[in-house]
Amino acid sequence: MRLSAASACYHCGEAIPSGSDWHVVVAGQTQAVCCPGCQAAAAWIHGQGLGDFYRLRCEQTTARPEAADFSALDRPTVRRYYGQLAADGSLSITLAVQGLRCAACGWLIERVLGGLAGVQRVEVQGLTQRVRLRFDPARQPLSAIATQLAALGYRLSLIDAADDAAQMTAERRDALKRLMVAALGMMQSMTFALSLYGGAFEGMEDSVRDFFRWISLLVTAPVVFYSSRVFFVGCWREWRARQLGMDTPIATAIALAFVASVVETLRGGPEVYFDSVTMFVFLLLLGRYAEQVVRHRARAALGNLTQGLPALATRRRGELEESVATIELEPGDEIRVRAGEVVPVDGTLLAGSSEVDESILSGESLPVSKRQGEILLAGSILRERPARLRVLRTGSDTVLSAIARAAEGAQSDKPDTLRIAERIARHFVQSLLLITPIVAGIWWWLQPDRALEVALSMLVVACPCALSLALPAALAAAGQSLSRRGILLLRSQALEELTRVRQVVFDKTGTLTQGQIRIARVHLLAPWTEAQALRIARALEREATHPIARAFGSAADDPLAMDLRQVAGQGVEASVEGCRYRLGRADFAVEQAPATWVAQAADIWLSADGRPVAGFELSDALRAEAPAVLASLRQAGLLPRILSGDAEARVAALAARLRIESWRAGQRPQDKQEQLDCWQREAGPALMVGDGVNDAPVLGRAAVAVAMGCGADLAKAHADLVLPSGQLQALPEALSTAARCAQIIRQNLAWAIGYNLIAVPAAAFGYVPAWLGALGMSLSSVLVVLNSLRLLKPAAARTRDHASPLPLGDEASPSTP
Amino acid sequence: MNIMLVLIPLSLLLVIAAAYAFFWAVDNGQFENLDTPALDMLIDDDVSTSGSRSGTPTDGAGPG
Repeated sequence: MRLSAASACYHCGEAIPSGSDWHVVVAGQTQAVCCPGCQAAAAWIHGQGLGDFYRLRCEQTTARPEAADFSALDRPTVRRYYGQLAADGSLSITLAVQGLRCAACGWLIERVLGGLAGVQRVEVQGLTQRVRLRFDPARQPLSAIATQLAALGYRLSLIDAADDAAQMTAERRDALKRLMVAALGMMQSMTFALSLYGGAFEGMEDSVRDFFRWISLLVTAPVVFYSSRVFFVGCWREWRARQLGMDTPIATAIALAFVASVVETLRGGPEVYFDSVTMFVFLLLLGRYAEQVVRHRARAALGNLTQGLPALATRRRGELEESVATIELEPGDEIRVRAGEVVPVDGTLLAGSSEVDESILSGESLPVSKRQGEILLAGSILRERPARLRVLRTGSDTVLSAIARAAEGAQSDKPDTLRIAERIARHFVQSLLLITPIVAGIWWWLQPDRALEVALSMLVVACPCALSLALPAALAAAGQSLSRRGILLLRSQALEELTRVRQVVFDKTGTLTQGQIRIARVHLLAPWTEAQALRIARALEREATHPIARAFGSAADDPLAMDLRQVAGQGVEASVEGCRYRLGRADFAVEQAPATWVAQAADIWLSADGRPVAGFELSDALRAEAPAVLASLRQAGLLPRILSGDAEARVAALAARLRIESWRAGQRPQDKQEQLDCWQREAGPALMVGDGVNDAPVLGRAAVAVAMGCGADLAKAHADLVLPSGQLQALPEALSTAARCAQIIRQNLAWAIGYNLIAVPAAAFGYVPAWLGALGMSLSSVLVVLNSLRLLKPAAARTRDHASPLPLGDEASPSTP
Repeated sequence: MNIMLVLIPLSLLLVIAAAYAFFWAVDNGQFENLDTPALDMLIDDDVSTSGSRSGTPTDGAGPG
């Protein structure tokens, strides 16, 4: 770990290329950076007194700064299309900032932009990784703001007004207000309910009681008419579509309990239920809000797909070239795309041929060759030569937009269990609405003075609150719990499928290894100890910066190497303590390698005065947590497998090290899909962990797809879960959370159904006084919510609760065979 | 008991004021970024001036 810290750029965290020598002196310490851009950025940040940023950020979020020309951002068309102009001449605009993930980035951006002249307001939205800006374009052009952010290493793109960002913000604010009104109403009505309960037992004058009831009615009314409007609107929509969902029983319950309470208040009856109504609404809204937050975060992550398109393009008119905003392009325009740039629109190639990287679209990581007349798709990256294109489709008509829309649509699927619970609640409400009049009729016939009271208590007791909270509460809590641990749940359906998974398929590169070379084994040939060999090797490699050199690291007592000579691509030679050593490829270290050596798998060799001394076997370092993760997966009864495009020897070595028996190497994307289908047919649903762009199609085939954070955007679009932190450890946590979620849902449902089965008949027979009914309804809801909140308990506490670190196998899903 | 007739309406007025304040805060984006303010208090605020932070590596303002 110490090694990787020393060899990674202080600012952007990327590996420092060998031979580069850029440093920045900050706060009295010298830090290595990878390029002049990072050097400038780090120096500037410290110069502004913002150096705390580096200490406070929790992950590497800034990218390598890139110089770019943003001048076209100041064009009036851009302003009109992306921004909103206020009467005082200030412009409001929303930027999507990649890498804006932790609090420190928000802090830095707020400080940096807030300090610019003419910027009136900076609003960082951590949830959606966006920044809303209001500034005076006359004093501070947008291009200057963009340049400033780009110089710090943030990649940004403009969010147009039609984007759902504004809508998402409005939705979230609306939900927050409804929740707050419900909370205030609940607190107030509960205060009065307490007095009323007290009065019921201790005796209270009717006039005082009625006064309290009217006040309760007053504070409950906004909760019912404002906060609960979402449920009534949803109910109305369901009725119009002739498709009863969850909103109907909820709206019915709220309306019934409220109307019953109003009736009781008016006629001075025995019981009112205002406190139950407000609490029910509050709990429901709380669950919905939590769910909405998770959903919005996922949607914002996906939104980046189309945001990857450049906001600017170079348009050609005859021989004249001008930089214009992408939105100004129209079909038929001719544009020029430079090498290394992202193609902004779909267009036909006008001349020559071109190599393009379509990985974001197709998942194919190898460049595709395009000829004259063929179509280049928006989002693909031009590899070599500049190209001239005739614009074909722009904006939302592009293929990329269509893909993003499809991926977004896939998110709104509801889990099967949720549908089942909805059906149960629906039938329950239907039959209740049917039975209640019958029961009331019978009571009317037997004992007319109790008929209304019994009917009311029956409706209140049987209000499907617990039933309708059982699932959303658990799912929302699970989603929250996952995102707290850095796991992004893109489809809540995946939670359910996770409990069915029988095997875990890894794509080797990047998922199990770190991508950093280290020494796996040392073969000793002379009477040397391993420590001696490593000590010499360290001395020889000390000055070198290439990845292999880093594998050796350094130690304080290393001897000094004299007469150092580096031979590019071969190795290094130097004198240490009077002896001439060579370290490098076999044919460099020893002129004639003995035949027995070739059999040995060492990658580089050390020789002393021409005599072979030791061989070092190098390997890509395993992720530190990989063995533990595999162990807990095995313990959960899951079969780990590797499906990799890498060479057979490497995959075999990795599989052997992790004791994975089932693996396939050298697979092309097409092979991977077939192999995965085959495995899923014979061993059950698979969880696929991928990170490479070439995993995108195969991720779509797996029952549950997990994309590691560093992966390409489209891989994420196909994924059910994203691990932005790239920590494998999150995988068993996700599995155990899913298992616990399924378990808690079953408990909730069992409780809600059991409660209703006992309470409804009791109420029908007149054994449940109204106050008990109200209490029962409130308590059953609270119990369900509290039970769901157990999912939020931190993972460490949970592992201690259970004997096994992963409580999957026996206590988990009902569907496991 | 008559004091109730004053206190309860008074409490309702307070609730309305609280709701109004909350609505104002939501509309002003006070709830959009709940992470950064937690850091603000850990950091000495000398941002707008140009000078550097006079050398010390970390000013002991860290979370740990």
